[in-house]
This record gives sequence, C-alpha cells and structure tokens, in this order.
Amino acid sequence: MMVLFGIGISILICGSLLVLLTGKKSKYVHLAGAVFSITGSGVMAAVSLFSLFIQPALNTLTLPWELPLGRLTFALNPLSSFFLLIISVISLAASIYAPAYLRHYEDDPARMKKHWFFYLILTASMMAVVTAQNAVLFLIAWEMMSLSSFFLVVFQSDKEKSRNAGWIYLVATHIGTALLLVMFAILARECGSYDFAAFRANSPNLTPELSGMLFIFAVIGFGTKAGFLPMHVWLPEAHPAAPSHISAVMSGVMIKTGIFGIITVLSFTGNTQEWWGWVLLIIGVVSGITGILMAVAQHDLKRLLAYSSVENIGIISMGIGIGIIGKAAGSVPLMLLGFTGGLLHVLNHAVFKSLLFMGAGSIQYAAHTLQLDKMGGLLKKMPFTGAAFLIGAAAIAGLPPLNGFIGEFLIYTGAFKHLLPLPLQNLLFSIVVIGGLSLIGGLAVFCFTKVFGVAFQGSPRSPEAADAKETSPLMIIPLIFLATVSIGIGIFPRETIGAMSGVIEQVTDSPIDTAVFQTLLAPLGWIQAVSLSFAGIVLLLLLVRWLLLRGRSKAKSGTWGCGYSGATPKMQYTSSSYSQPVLSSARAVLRTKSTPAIPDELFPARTGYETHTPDSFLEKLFQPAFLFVQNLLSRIKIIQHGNLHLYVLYILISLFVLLIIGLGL
Amino acid sequence: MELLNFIPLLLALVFAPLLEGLIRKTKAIFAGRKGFPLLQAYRDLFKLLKKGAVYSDTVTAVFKLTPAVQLSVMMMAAAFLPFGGLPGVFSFGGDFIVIIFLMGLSRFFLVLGAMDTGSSFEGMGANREAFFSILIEPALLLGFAVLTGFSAEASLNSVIRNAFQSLSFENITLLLLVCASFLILALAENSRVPFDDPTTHLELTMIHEVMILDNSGPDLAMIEYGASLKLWFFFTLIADIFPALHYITQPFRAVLTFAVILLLSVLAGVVESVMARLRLMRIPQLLSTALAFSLVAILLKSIL
Repeated sequence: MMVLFGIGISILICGSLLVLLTGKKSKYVHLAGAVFSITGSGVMAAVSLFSLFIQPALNTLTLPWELPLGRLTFALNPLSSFFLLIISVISLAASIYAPAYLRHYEDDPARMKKHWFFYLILTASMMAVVTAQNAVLFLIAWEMMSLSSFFLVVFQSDKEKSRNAGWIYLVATHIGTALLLVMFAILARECGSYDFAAFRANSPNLTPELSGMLFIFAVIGFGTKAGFLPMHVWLPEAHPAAPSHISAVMSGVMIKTGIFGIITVLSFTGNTQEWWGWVLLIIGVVSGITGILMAVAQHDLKRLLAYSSVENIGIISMGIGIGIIGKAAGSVPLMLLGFTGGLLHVLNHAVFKSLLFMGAGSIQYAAHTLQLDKMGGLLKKMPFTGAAFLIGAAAIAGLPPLNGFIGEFLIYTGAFKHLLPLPLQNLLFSIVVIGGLSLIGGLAVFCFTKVFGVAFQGSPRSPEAADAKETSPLMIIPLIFLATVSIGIGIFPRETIGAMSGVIEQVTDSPIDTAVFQTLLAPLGWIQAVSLSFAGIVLLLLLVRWLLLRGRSKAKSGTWGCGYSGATPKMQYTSSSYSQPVLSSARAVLRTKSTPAIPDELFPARTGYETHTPDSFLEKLFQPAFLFVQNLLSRIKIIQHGNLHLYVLYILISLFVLLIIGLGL
Repeated sequence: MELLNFIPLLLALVFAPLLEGLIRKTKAIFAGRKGFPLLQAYRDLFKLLKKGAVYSDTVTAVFKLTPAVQLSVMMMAAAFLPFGGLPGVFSFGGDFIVIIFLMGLSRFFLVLGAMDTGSSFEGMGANREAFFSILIEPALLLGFAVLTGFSAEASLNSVIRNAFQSLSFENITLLLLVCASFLILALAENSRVPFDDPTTHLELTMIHEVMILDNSGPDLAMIEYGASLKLWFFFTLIADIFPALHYITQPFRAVLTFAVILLLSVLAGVVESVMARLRLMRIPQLLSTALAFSLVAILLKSIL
C-alpha cells in the first residue's frame, strides 16, 4: 500500500513539472493541472481510507536515498492517515473548483502554469508533512509547504496588497520555522538521531523542564502556522489575497498541520504535564473570543472568514488542552472527550471552512466584490451556492444537526461531567470552558447571521450584486459535496467517531477502554435520533402548512414598511450596522474606528457611517517590534557601503581575528 | 420509552398558549380592564390557521422554512422536559446542551427569516435578538453547570432529580440562585418586559415582534405557538428546580408544579404591569446580572 502512497506523491510532484510543459492554451494547462491534482489526491484519499479502516497497522516507506542528517522515511499511522484524508479530500474539492474559478485569468497561461505548479507542490508537501518520519525530511516538507503557499498567496503579484500580504506571511511562517528548527535540534541532541522513532523511544528520558521547554517551542512554532493569538496576524492578510480555492486549502487544511505538529510533538516529549493543557486551553479561549470578535468587525468576507479560522483553531486548541488536562489528571473520560472533540473539530472545520471560502470565491466570481455591503439578495440569484453557504454558516456556528455541533458537544460534555480533584481547578475549568465556549458560540451565531443575512438576503445593494448569476456546475459541485459531508457527520456522529478510534488511541497513547468510550459516545446515538425526529417534524409542519394553504390566497406583496412606502435597498441593515452593538460593547478589545457623519443642518444632504477595525496585534505589537529591530539593525548598515576594497579588508580582519583565537594567543 | 413519559410533552402542547392568556389577564386586572378571555390565545391560533398567507417579494425559502424550524425546535425541547418529577420522552447525558443549541438553531433561522425581508426594522430586531443571545447562552449553560455539580450523569432528568438529593441549606441557596438567574433569562428569552414589550407596535423598540412582522396566516400561527411552547419550557424548568416542591409527594407534586407555572405567568404579568421596558443599552446589564447569579452559584458550589 505504501507503493500506492509513493505513486500518489509522484503523480503530484511529476504533475507539477509536467504542467509547466503544457502549451500556450490555458484550457490545456487547466486540464493537465486538474487531472494531476485530482488523480493524485484521489489516490491519496484511497490510501488514507485503506490505512484507516482496512489495514490500520503501521506502514512505512523508506526510500534508499540518504538526506544529510536523515533518511527519506514516510509512515502511515492512524493520525497521519486521518490528516492525509482531510488534505486529499479538500485538495480534490479545490482542484475541481479551480479551473472555472480562474476563468478571469484565461489569457495569462504563464500565470496558470505557476498556479498549478505551486498548487501541486503545496498538496504534495502537506501530504509529506503529515507522513514524514524524520525531522530533516519533515522540515524540508514544511518549508516547501510554506514557500509554495507563499507563491500562491502572491498569485496576484501585480497588486501591492497581495505582495504585502505575502511578505507578512513569509516573515511569520519563518519565525515559526526557526523555533521548530531549534526544537528539533534539541530533540536530536538528546537522542542522537533525527528519526521520529528515536524521538519517541527517548521521550521518557527527557527531564520535565526540557520537555516543558520543547512544548513551548512547539506551541509557538506550530502555533504560528495554526494561527494562535497573537501569531495569527498573517491569516487575515494572506487568506483574502490568495485565490479563494487556495484560501480554502490554506485555511481548511494547511493551518491544521500546525495542530498536527503539536500533537506529534506531544508524543516526543513524554511525561505530559497538566500546565501544558492549561496553556493550550487558555490560548484556545483567548484566540477563540478575540478571533470571532475580530470576525464580527470585518466587512470583507474573506478577511472575516480568516478571523473565524483563528476562532476555530482556538476551539481545536481548547479540545486538545482539555485532553491533556484529563490525561495529566488521570481522568480517562476527560482525556477521551477532549482529544476526540478537538480532532473532530479539525475535520469539521476543514469541511465547512473550505466550503465557506469557496462560497466566498463564487460570490466574488459572480458579483465581483468581497465587500459585504455591496452584496445582498444573492440567494435568489445563486440558489445552489447560497444553500451550500447556508449549511456551512450554520455548521460553523456550531448548530445541530450539523457537524460543527458534534465537536463542541463533546468538549462541553467533558466540561460538564468530569470534575477535577481540586475545587479551584474545577471552578476555573468550568468557567473557562463552558463560559468561553458558549460566548464563542453566541458570537459565531451573531457573526454568521450577519454574513448570510447581509450577503444573501434582502435586496441587492449594488448593480453588480443585482446582475450576479449562478456559477458553473464545476464550482457548485464541490460546495454541495462539502455541505453533504457536513450534514453527514452531523447525522452520523457516532459512526464518524467510531472510525476515528484508532486515531484517538494513538493520540492518547493508550488503548481505548471500550466500555468507557461507548458510554461517552452513547449521547451521540441519541443526538442522531433527535436530529432525525427534528427534521421529520419540520417536514411534517411544512406538509401541514401546504395542506392548509392549498386553495387559499397566497398573495405576493412588498415587505411591510410600517407605513413607509419609499424604502430602498440602501435602507437595509448593513454589515456595519449589524455589528455595531457588539463592536461598541467590545470597545476595550477591538478599538474600532468609526467615522459617523451625523447631519446637523436643516436639510441634510449626503452622510455616511463607516467602521474600520484594525488588528491591534499587528499595529501595536508586531509593527513596533519589527520597526525597533529594523532601526537597531540599520545602525550596523554603516559597515555596508558597497566599497569592495573595504569588504576585502573586513575578510582579512576576520581571518586575522580567527587566527588569533584559533592559535589561542 | 413508556407512555407515561409523554405526559409532560402532552401537557406542554395543550397548555402552553394558556400562559399568554394568563399574563394578559393579569395585566388587564392591573389596568382595571376586563381583558381578553383566558383562552383568547387559542382562538387567535385557530383564526390564523384558517387564513391565507402573504409573502414579501424579497423573501426566499429561508423565510418559509423559519416557522417550521422554530416550532419543530420548541416541540423537541418540550419532549425533553421533565414535569414535576415525571421524566420527559428523551433523556441522555448532555441533553440540555442539545436543547440549548437547538434553540440556537431556531434563533439562527428567526434572525435570517427577518433579514430575508430586507426591511431595516426587521434587521434591527434580528440584530438585537442575535446580540442579546450572546449573553443568554453562557448564563444558561453556567446555570446548568451548577445543577450538574449534583449529579454524575448529567441529563435534564437526572439534573432535576438529583438536585434534590440533599436539601441542605447550601444546596437550597444554590438552587435559588439558579432559579433567579433562569427567571431573568426566561423573561429575556421570551421577549417579555423588561427586555422587550410583546404588545407594543412601535417597531423601533421591539425585538421579537418586529422580527416576525412579515409573517402571516399559518406561518404566524406556527411562530406564535412555538413562542408559547418556549415560555412553557422555561417556566416549567424553573418550577422543576424550585426547591420547595421537593417536599411534596406525587401526584400532588405534579399538580403543584402546574400551579407554580401558572403563578410564574401571573408574576410575569405583574412585572409587565409595574415596570416599563428597559432602554436597549441597559439590557446587557440585566443579562449580566443573570450571568453573575450563575457565576456566584458556581463559585459557592466549588467552595462548599
């Protein structure tokens, strides 16, 4: 089966090169790119399914090709297969979507070639990241993933905004990678090998202080990729700049490799300590609340979705934190519920976030804007996209009977049922988890009713929105597919989690106690019953209404304007007005700038109200910090003047100094 | 599943609209009027069911789906609800989380149903509804966290059953705190004074009523009936955890629970008669009070 894995990766990598050779017609470039991507991802999806369900034993592939310091070893354990499945399915959906979406660039085949080249490399490198079994190989794949996604972010490199976004992303991701380098170097020094197997074998020998330090490195290094606060600043820049299917892959899948990294490092550090869990839990709650508050404040749809990714990464982090607390405190149910909830949310978020990003892409394609306040009434123009988007919005708001609810439900049950030994711990734990998660949930409902209500409902707010047409079937199919998965997981939660049991076993590092696990999952069977009876009653009520209204008058009329008949689309609630109550209550966190032009003359003419919410972390933390470093370093600039003779002198002086040190004089 | 378990659901389906009638009657007596007959709410529902429907040009399928989703959610919620010691139809660990999130789904649809009309009035109501719920959900869930502190396997049934296993002074204090918190939340969730005024026709000040402005006929009937089920759900919940009732044996306990529910409606009527609705800016403060009650209860719970 690992042969098939090799074939899959080869299709993607060879494909990336072959795409460059396709002729000058965009049609063929798209065809080649899509075919390679779909077959490659398809093969990988099959491989991961096979390894998850049919042959869950460890499969290793070692290529007889020595890397400096390492070996080319890939392995499929349950955790890798789980992430591999997510990566391949989402990449598959995105590559069906891409050709139609990129139609605007049809006359630029060179750019198309670059796109497919980097897209295929990105897919292959993400797959390599989750299967690599050697630190050097892992870092190479990690770097390939970061670089290829960087080139995809600057897809519209002719726009300054895109280049800026790419720059912020490049800096952020390399700060993260730097920490990972240090972390892997320390691990390798401790056990004398760069192989993951050696890391795992050596894990009990690490001192608690050292493992704690490694954990912190991992949280910051991988957290930068995942989008933990305050390292999230690249997400709201990079996601809107990239083409939508790339944002879907980056936000749905790529940032999850950060979560994968943290979970993997847990197995290298051994003796898990309770405070690690608290660190992840607090980071999760803070990222969640701040992320969704920032999302509420946005008016650009893709920026909003990027901030909502920060929120969802927060929820995932909370789940894993709870799992670690449970493990350290010796509470098996808490451990199982936390890890299962977190991992399930990884899958769920991949599904609905890619759906929403591609939905945003379809809106941009059809209405030529991402500004919520220029949309409106799109559900009528784009019924299929709109319906899929509605399902995604309800799912991301954590509402039953969809998948988003299941993950949050598991995390909640953990908080409700299982008490920790110390009273104060309990107090903090229940307030943070229950209070935090429900606050996040309420804000998410607020945020996504705003998105759907302003973008898809009411009347069009701009001529472009009024002229929008449903996109091509190739752009709709991936959306419908992801929406179906979302409903499927929501209605079959028990089956889904049952299929994940191997993954959970690996993450918790202990065989699952079947009896305990079944008790924990029992409510999920009930949830299925509740969801189905709920849907049944809805259908029944619709039938009753249909029967009642049969033969009666069903009049059409304008919306009731409370006696005012001159209402225009401009009078509808906008994104700014919808978010105003939350923004004004959260002034302390958000620092929203508004420009209220209150008319004060007798016959007021034009007026307007605008809000803009800058990212305080970018403006108050990172920009000053980088400016400081830049100022500091610019002082050293005086030695760099372009005078070759003096450079030679520098070399001479350094040689001389080294000679003195070397000779020990 | 026993036939007996369907009794609470049946009671809810039959008696829910009565509460609205009782509230209106109380208000009428306070105002020195004779008021509507007690059963007026039922008549209104039947009247609406007999009518045709008017739909706005702007609305989509979401608007037409909303009444059915909302009523279905409330019927499901009523199916979970124990009544004075009688268990509900559904019961499993964490079922109250499912109920709260199902109510979230109904709110999601109500809000979108209002946004669907493109009216700025309804947008306003929808916006307020979504905003206030941000504070309601944490308070509700934290209240339940206090109650589950008493039980190992937390379902709505077991929470209510086990809450009374030791009626020590501390436990009664906790239960009363949660009752107080839930009472505030019940008024907020059901759009009663001081949060919202169900009788006003000044759209700028309304929340719930303004969201359903464009519904008519059977759609409006479904929404009104769903709303009355929601009121029933919250009042029954409070009656269920009210400590005094525990000292009474069946079947008197069930009967007294019913009496407490009616009393709560009268209380809501009294509140509506003697208070004006709060300014919108003040509503988050009152909701925070409910949240604070829950938090104090949790604090006590973990110290005691």
